Amino acid sequence: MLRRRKPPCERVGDDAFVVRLGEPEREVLVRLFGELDAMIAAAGDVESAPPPNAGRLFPPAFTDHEGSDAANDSEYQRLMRSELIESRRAAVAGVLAVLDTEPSGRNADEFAFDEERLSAFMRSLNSLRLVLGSLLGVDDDEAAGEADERVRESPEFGLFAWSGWMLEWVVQALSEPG
Amino acid sequence: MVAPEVNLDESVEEDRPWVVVVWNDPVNLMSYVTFVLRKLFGYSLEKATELMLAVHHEGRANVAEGTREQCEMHVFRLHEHGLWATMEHDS
Repeated sequence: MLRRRKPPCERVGDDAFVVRLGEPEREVLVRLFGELDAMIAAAGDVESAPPPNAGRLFPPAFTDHEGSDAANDSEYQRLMRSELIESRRAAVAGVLAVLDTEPSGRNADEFAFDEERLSAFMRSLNSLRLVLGSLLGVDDDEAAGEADERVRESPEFGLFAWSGWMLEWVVQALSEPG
Repeated sequence: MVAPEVNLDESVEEDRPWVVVVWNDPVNLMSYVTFVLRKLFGYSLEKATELMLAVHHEGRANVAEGTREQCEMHVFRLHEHGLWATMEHDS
């Protein structure tokens, strides 16, 4: 018999949400967020380029960062880079604290998040997509919509598409009134 | 009495308002960009959607303006959310 599946993320109270993840999805997310954390932690030196595929996580702050605002941008990066790293790592750590525990809902695949943690999940999923997008060469809107068959069959593309699907649900859940 | 040296050009430059620009990144979902603009700036759904569509179709949109300090904080919060944001002097 056909059954209506529950959404992968939904609001269940004023400050309560559930995210539904099967064990294989949870395992992959825990591994990827661990790798993301290591990548973010390695970007502390503002004099060096960020790790490969992490450039989108640390953009310049001034439009003319290669011209008249070069000094302003250097100063900004020197002052703010460590805060950005700290903020991103705290978000990932908050998500891992939930995903590393036993599922807390009535069902084995339900993980309980409050709004702050779900926002951290949203930001971390988006960070993951920025890295995967760079890895896959998603540089324009056409590339985001159309990938050749070889790319479409890669595990990275599968993760990119899955994380976009999950992110849509998380945004929708956070947008619903409490 | 000696008058203090003031570089008027620099003072004028610093006083000019700044604007915060969000640039198109095809990785970022349209719904996500709209949500972040609403969350950070308190924009209505209509206003945030209008700005998101400008980013999507025109490649960029001015999403906020203010002093240098205010704009640096806006840029930081947008970067925290993974949006490609920069600041520049209002032309």
